[in-house]
Amino acid sequence: MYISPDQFPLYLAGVLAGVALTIVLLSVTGKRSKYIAMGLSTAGFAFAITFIVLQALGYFGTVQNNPTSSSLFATDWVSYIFGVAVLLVALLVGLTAVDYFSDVIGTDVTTFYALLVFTTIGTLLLIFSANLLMMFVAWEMMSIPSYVLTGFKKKDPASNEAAVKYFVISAFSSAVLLYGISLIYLLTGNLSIYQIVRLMPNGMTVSGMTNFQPIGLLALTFFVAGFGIKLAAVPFHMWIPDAYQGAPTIVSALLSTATKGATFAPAIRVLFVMFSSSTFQPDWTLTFAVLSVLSMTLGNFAALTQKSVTRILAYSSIGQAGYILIGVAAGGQLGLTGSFFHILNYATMQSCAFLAAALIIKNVGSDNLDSFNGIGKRVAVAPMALTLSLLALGGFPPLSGFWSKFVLFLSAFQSTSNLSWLAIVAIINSFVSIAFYVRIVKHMYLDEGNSTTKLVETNGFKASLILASAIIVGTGIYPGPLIEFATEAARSFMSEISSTQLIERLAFILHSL
Amino acid sequence: MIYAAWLIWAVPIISVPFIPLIGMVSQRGRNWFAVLASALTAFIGFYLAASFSSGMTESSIIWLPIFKVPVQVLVDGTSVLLAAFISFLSFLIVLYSVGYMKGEKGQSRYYSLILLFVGAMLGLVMAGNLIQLYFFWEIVGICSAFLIAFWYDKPEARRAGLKAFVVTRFGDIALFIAVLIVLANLKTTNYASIFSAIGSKPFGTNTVLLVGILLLIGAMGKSAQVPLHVWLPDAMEGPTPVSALIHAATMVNAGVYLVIRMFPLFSYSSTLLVLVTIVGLTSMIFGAACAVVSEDLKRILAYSTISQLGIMFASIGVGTTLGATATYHLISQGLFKALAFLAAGSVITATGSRNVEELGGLRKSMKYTYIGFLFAMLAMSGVPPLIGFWSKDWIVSTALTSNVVAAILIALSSVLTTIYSFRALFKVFYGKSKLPNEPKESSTVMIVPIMTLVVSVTVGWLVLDYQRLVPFNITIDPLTIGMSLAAIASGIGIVYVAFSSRTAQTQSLMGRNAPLIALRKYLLEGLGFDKFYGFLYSRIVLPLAKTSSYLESGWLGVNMGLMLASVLLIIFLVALKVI
Amino acid sequence: MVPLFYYIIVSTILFAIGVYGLVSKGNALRLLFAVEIVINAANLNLVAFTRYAMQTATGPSGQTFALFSIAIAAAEAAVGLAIIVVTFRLNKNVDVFKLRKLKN
Repeated sequence: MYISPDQFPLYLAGVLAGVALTIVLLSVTGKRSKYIAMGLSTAGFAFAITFIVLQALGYFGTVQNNPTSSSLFATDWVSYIFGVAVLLVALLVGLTAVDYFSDVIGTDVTTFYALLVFTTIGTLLLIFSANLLMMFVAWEMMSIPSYVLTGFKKKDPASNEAAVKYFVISAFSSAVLLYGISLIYLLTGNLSIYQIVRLMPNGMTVSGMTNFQPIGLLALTFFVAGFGIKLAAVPFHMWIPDAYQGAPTIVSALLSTATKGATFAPAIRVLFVMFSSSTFQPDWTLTFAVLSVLSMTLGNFAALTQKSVTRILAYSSIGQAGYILIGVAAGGQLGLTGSFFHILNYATMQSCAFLAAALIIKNVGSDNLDSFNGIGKRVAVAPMALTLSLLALGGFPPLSGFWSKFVLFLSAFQSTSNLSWLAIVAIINSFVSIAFYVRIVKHMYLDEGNSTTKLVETNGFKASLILASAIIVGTGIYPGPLIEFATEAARSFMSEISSTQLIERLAFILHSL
Repeated sequence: MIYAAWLIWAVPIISVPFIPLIGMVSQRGRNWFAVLASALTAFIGFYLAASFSSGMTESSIIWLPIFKVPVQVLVDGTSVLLAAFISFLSFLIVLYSVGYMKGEKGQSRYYSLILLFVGAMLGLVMAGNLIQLYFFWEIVGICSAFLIAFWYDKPEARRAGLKAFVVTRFGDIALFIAVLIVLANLKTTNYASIFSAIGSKPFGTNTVLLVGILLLIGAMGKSAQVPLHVWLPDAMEGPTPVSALIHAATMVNAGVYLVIRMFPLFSYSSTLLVLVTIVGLTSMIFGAACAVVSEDLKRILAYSTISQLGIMFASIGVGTTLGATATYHLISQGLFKALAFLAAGSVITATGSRNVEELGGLRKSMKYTYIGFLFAMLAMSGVPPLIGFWSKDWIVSTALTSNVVAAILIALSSVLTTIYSFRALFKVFYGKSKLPNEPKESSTVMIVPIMTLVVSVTVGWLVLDYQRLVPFNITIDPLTIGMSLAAIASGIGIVYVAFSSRTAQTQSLMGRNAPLIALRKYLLEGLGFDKFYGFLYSRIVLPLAKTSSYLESGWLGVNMGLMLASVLLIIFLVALKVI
Repeated sequence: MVPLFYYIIVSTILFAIGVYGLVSKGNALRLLFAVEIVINAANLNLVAFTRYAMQTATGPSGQTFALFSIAIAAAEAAVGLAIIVVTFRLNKNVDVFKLRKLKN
């Protein structure tokens, strides 16, 4: 079967949209429909993962498209890697939703699945998009269902508070992004990321402006702010703790990994490709290094004194965003490899942590650290999975997080712009972060709880947590293949950049002739 | 033979998941399965030692293709000798655990962690590159912390576990940075490649110095050297077999092993060797002084471990024998300290007390334990012809030729060593029993390992002298023998006068002399290192944490305002640079 | 033809008004309006730039974009209003400054 790589994302979205619409239709029927919805969405996500893997292995003809053409999509290794990560998280969350909402009054889980699939479609399209219009539409397709998911517990004031805050800030981020796009359009009259890059330095502006730099910088700042808000990088992080704490915990798992990780793909396309012309190169290594240091330090230190487990995990998510940004600051193939690899690992680690916490919180009825006391004696899988994922987030071998941090720190050491200080700050930070990760483990296993009754672990949660833990440990013991994929993504992405820069140089020569 | 080098650490790790599985069916079956697995490991260890001829062999499989980092085993004299030693000792201690842990809950957890530890420790010793070493280094650290906190019902055990976790992490980050610097500069962390690159362009003097200092800090964290020693005395809250295996004989030696392994790098710069010596001597004296006043039997042994490890560091720093003296002392210390801990564990199970002031007169009721402890203390003080005599006097003799100050300090510290050894021995096994009822001798599974170790500390030096793995050509100066015999004699004399025959006079002397009281108080508190770290935490970390979480006010408008302000700041900064 | 500069001025003013509203207002509905104003500032930019960019651009993509973004903003407002309705049901007011339960 041949599928044009230009249209591959559309097939993907089409299949999932079919699933979503079927679930919507189902929601008007009987009571058992939530199990059918779970089965359908799980099958849909699994199918989509297979579909992407087959495409990446070349079963549908050409593996990658030429993003410099005017295609709406960049079907390349970056997209594949992020796509699989996002689908995996959606799959994990989907497996747990029926159990999680089983005793929440006033919720219709079938709708939850429909929204989950819809937001996943938006996320996938966002990852694949190579056109600013497509990017914006996908961005909103991702965001709008996620507002509803955040406020899914209608009777719960915390969930609603989280939804309001998330909605206002996220809507603001889309507005800012849109404004940035309009400025880019002013400069170039074009919306395709891979074409803009060769139009930009020529200053083909509508009003004959020769000095496009201030407007370009303004646009760059708007993009950084827009992406930064979704990426949870300091100083755009203030909404994160409230939103993740208030939202249903399995939705926090989705927001903190799928939404956040997926934002990274368009962010690097915009920052590394669209703004890659020489006039914008000089100083954002430092800018991103500073953002990275701020995110790590604030996230990790703020987490030290928190009392709520979800809030600790939220701050951890901010801190991890800082690590991811190291790769962006260091740049180059190794830096991008590190970032991609860490996002892949982060997706499983953080979602596993949130899902395990979700199960415990649902059972004990509170997300306070003290209510986690002695959980280790009352359930088997959830505390184990939480411990594994927290240790992995803290960067302990033989777990997956160790290797991606390793690559990231190494990339900072090897970076041409002398970022050893960044690596050292990051290593010290990861030392500090151990304190609060281990604190949760201590409460679960070492402290005496006030109850010793066994808790129920439902099969959906068990399956999801065991799958995630297996990925964490498996990647930790043999990280080779995943690092290879991440390297392949970084390599192909770097070659895309160099090819666009070549075009840009050619265009510049032609123009000057 | 090369398969044995892989199997020796693969066997314990592979058997880990079987422990809880068998535990579901039969408790006894699980315990003896663990013994069997460690016996098999020990057998492989001896086979490896027997079949090793000479030179250095490497075997590797690809692990991380992009950095060309393989999992590899490095088979040379040092690694094989240490692997055989570790596997032998862990077999004895797992056997001992069967008796010691009888009736405890959570034994599946205990045996899984012990076997994982043994596998990781052997992997660490056999590793052929720094990344693999670091990988196992962290795993042994985690196992150690979990085992310290094994009795989590006790708050002290929980705190000690966390403390070990955090403090050793501090050394670990230094080691991690060192590994990254080496990899960033040389694109490889293979030992041989590192040594061949020393001094050339990307790995010049300054880089070597930096890497060396970082490696030293890493080794200090693991080997509990001052000022990163604070976790080891508290780690004694763990079960005694754990203290014997991890915190006396194997894991704490990992730091020394790292320095021995990296000796070509350390010897490149004389500054580094001086630093190693200073660290070693400081810890040696500090540990011995604290051990003299401590009242907890296991803490005495822990401080003694710090002191003995200090001697190893100092002997490496003196640097005439390429670390062979340290290797010898490492094995010797491992044997007699493990023996001391096993005997102490036997005392603790029989009496239920760890305080030396509460014990006494156990000589008659616990004969075998007494013999074990006696031999351990004799070996520790360096009484000939036990193994401790050979290792310590060899160190002093080699030091005499190059660094007289260090040699004299080490010889003088023998006085302190003898004092704390015999003080513990007298207080626990002599005098009148202060216990309400007569304690019983421990079970056979616990006595067999103790007796095996008694034989080992007595004749172990013969084995070490005639093995072919690491040729130790021990040469001991007659002057050294005289010095150490004098030190032992004066030490025993002081102990006898102070604690045995004239207790009343000693107490009144201690009661009158204000500086002595103050000194004793400070030493009991470990010279205030704990307080200092607590001060750092409350003055630096906590304020930062409070400020960071204060930034999230929860007011939407304030959040928006701050974000906007930072956008403006970014614009301003970027504009300053570019326009 | 009105010079492009005038459009930019208007859109900048709209943007500033929106941001001011977001920072200073506590009423959730006003925040929603403020976000809409920012989006409309961007839309105005897109429409105006297309008018002037026709010489170089391949097609009226900016105006197409504006149409898309208007539709999307409507969907966003619908969801936002639904969330605000729930807030009102739970709290009997829609003041976001009073939404500080999570912090404590």
